[in-house]
Amino acid sequence: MGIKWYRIVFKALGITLIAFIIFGPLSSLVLWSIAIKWYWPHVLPQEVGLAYWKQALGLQRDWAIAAVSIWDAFKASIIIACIATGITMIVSIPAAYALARLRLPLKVLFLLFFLMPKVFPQQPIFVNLLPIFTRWGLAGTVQGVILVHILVCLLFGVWISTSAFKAIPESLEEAARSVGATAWQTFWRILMPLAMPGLLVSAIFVLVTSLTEFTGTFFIGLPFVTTLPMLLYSASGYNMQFASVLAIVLLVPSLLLMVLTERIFRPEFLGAVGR
Amino acid sequence: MPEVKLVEVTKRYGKVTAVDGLTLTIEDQEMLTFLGPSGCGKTTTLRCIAGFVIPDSGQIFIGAQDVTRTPPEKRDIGFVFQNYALWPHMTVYQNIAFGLRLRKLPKQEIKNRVHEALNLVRLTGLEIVTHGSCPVVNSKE
Repeated sequence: MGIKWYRIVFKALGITLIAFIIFGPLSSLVLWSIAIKWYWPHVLPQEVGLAYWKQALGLQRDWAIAAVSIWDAFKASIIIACIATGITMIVSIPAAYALARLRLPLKVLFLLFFLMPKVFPQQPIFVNLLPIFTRWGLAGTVQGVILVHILVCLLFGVWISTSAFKAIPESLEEAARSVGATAWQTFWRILMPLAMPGLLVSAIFVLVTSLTEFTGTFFIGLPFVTTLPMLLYSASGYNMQFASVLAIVLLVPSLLLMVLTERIFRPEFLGAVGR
Repeated sequence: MPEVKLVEVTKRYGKVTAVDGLTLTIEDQEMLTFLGPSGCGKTTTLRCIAGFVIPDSGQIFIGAQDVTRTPPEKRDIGFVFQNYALWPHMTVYQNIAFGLRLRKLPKQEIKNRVHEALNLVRLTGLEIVTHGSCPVVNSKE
């Protein structure tokens, strides 16, 4: 009996802890986003309202509320993310096919090459990129930011797509070739439909990465290109309410896309990396 | 059916010689079986004939035509894979019709020939299932 009792308490504590870790910050975000007045030592806000939400969504304009309309940044974020995702996938799909199928020397090095912008400290990379981009006239432009996003996103694009192609048995391609399909027809009618779930997952990772990309946009884009994370950065620290509104807005697409990913993801997509 | 001729066909994978100077003629109408321990080059030889593997040296003829470097889709050879190699995103009907469609046969002709084939293996009525849910394929019959 004693042991059972112990276990239940232990489980309850564990669940509470997990719930606290996950929902603690989230509920704090929600609370802050509706707090008008919240001073120490009060546990809950003294005054709540949707003023910051209204202002952020452009429904009202009140100089007393420190928030601006987020629509421009939202639009910039979406446009940049969509273009970056499109270009990343156009580059990634052929590269991934080559890495998955062709006998390339130094294949692992190629894969690691895409990992580089992720493993090195981001700041020095982009600080050094800034003078180069300035020389090319790309600093502070949307094109420059898109290019930086592609650099960061290629990792997910190439790695996950490579696994998606690797998960398809080669005999399925050979069977198509033997009944008369050219390499091109085989790619479009056999490989692409079969790899599609994996490629979609890859594209979703790329899209989310681009939507939430911070460091590169900060060094290359500011002050002329403002995406949602940039707006969040400038609001965080002193303006908890507006920052919380932005954080929640940024969470929504990521959460939606993650739910979508969860539905189409199969572990093989990552299991074949580096094989 | 034309005869198939292999002349001094050799294929190496790194240090391993899978097929070593094989010369062989398969006559018209002849039925030939390869028998041997695993790793002796049966599969590599078949894959050379089908065109999935290009030999390091030697030539392959189908009839009078040298097909050593012809891509598999131009050889018109039927190849049955050990693991069936059915396309899981297509229905049974689409799997059978794929090759005929690539050959741009008229729709009605494709339909007739698919049904003929299904009749032959007594699978009529299962055209629209995908192979993952096809009981016959699942039971490895």
